[in-house]
Amino acid sequence: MDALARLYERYYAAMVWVAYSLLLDRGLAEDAAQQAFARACEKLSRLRNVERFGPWLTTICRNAAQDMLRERQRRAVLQRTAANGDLAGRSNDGFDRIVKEAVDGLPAMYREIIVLHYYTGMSYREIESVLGISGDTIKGRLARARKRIRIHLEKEGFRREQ
Amino acid sequence: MERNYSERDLEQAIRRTTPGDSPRPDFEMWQQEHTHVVGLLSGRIDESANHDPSITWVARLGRNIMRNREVKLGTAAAVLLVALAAVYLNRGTSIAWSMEQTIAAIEQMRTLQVEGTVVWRFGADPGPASFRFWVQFPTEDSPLKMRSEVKNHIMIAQGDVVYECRADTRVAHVRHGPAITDLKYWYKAAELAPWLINEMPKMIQQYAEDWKQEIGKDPDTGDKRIIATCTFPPSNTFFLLVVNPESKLIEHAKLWDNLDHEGEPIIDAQTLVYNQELAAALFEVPADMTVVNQEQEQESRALFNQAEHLFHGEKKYVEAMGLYREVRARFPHTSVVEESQMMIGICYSHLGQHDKAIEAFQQAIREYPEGWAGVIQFYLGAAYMDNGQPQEALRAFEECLADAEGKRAPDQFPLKEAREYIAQIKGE
Repeated sequence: MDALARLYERYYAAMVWVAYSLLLDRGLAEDAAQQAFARACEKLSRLRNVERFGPWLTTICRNAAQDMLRERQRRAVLQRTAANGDLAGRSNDGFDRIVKEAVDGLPAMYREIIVLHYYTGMSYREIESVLGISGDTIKGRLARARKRIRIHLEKEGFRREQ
Repeated sequence: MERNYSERDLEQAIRRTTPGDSPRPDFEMWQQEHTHVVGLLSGRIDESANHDPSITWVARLGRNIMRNREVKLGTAAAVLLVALAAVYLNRGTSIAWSMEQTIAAIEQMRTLQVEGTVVWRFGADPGPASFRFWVQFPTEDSPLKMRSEVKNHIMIAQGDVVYECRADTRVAHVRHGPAITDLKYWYKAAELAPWLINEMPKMIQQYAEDWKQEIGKDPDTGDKRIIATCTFPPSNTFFLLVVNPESKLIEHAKLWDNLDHEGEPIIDAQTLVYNQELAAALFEVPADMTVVNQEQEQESRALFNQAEHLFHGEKKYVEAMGLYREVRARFPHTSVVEESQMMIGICYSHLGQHDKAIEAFQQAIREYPEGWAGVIQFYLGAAYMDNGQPQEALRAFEECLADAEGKRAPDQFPLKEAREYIAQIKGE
C-alpha cells in the first residue's frame, strides 16, 4: 500500500490535468483522476510493461474522463462554468479571456500538452514519462499548440511582438 | 484596433488560465472513498506473507518506478533468447537440461537472428505482422548492434545511438543521442516490448509460475525437444519455449497475452538462428535514407522562429516567406515544415497574391493531408473568397467543417468563421 501511495503522490496532479484537458472542469477532472487510480488497481494484472506505468495510467485516466464527458453530455449539462468567472476579474484588455478561449478550443491532443507544460511546469522529460510520447513529439505539439493560439489571437486583433 | 503582446505575455496568460491551485493528492481520502479497491489490494498483499511472488506486484511496481534508474542500452540484449533463457536462471529441471547449460551455450553466441510474427496493434491496419530481428552481441571491439523490422518500421541500434527509420518515407530519425536512458523507442517502433525490455525477463525470472517441462517432439522433424512453459500472472502472459536438448539453445518461442494460451500468440518467434554471419550493412542506416538528428530539429525551429518574428512582429511578409521557404528547403523532414508551408500561403494572402496563396494552401493539403483539423482548409477558403471564387471557397469551407468535426469546439476558430462564410456565400 505504501508503494501505491507513492504512485498516487507522483501521478495524481498529472492525471488531474490530463482529465482536465478533456473535461475542462477542475472538479470533474479530480474525480476522473481518482477513478483512474481505482481502475488501474483493478487492472494491474494487465500491465505488461512496468516502465510504461505512466502512459498506461494516462490512458485509463483519459478513458475515465471520456466516460464522464459522455455522461455529462447525456445529462445535457453542456456548459462548463469552471474558471471562466475567475478570468473575468483579472482580465487585461480581454487578452486572458481570448487566450483561454484559444486554449479551450485546441484539439485535446494539443491542449493536453499545453496544460501539462504550463499548468504544472512539467519538463519535456516528465511529460514523456506520463504520456509515453517522445520529446520531439512533445515539442512539436507544443509548437503547434502555441501557433494555433497565436492564430486565434491574431484573429481577435492581437499582434505578437518581439 | 490592434493590441500587441510578447511571447512572455502569452506564456503568462496561459498559466493564468490554470483553474485553481495545483491538485493535491490525498491518498488517505482516496483510500476511504475506494474501499473496494483497497480491500482488493490489501487481500493480495496480505497473502504475500505466504510467499506468493506475484502478490508483491504493486510494491515492486512502485519501487521500480520510484527508483527511476537508468536502463542501459546494453540490457537491450535481453532479446528473445536471452530474455527467455533468463527465465530459467537458478531453476533446475527434472529433465536432462539445466539453466547453467543454456547460459553457457548462449555465452558462446556472437549473433542471433529471429523471425516470426507479432500482433501489431497500431496504425490503420492492425493485426499479425511478420518481424525480423538481428542481434550482434557486444565484444571488446564492437558495441551491441541490433536491428528490427516490422512493417515499414526499421529500428537500428549501434551502441548508444538508435535510429528509427521508415522504409516508406526513407527518413531516419535519431531518437536519442549518447545517453539513452530507456528503451521506449525500441518498443515504440518494433512493438516487441516483451522481448526487448529488461524488466520483463527479470520479473519473469523471479516471479513466473506454473512451471512445466516435458519432452516433446518437434512437429516438423519429429526430433525430441524440451518443451517448457510458464505463466506470469501480473502481466497476464504465458510463455512457451522449445529447447534443443543437445545444444541447449532455444529454437522456438511463443508468448500469449492470456494465462490459458488461448488463441494465437501475440509473438511467435518461429525461427532462431545462432552465430550466423551478419553483414555489417545490416546495422547501418541505408545510404538512401535521410537522417534527421536533433540538431537539425533545433536549427529548423530557430529558423522558423526567425520567420515568425518577421511575420508577426515586423510584418515583413516577403522576408518572412523567404525564411519559411528556407525551412522547407533545408529541413524538409523536420516538425516545422508543415506550418512553414501554411505560413507561405498566409504570407501570399497578406501580400494580396491570392492565386499564389491558393496554390500554397493546396500544396500543404496535398503534401500533409492530416493533422490540420480544418485550419488549412479554412485559409484556402478565405483565399478563394479573396480571389473572387465563392463556389471554390464554399467547398473549402465545407471541407474545413468536415475535417474539424469532433476535433474543435463548434464555436471556435475555424468552425465558427467557416460557418459564417458559408452563410454569406449562400446568402443566408
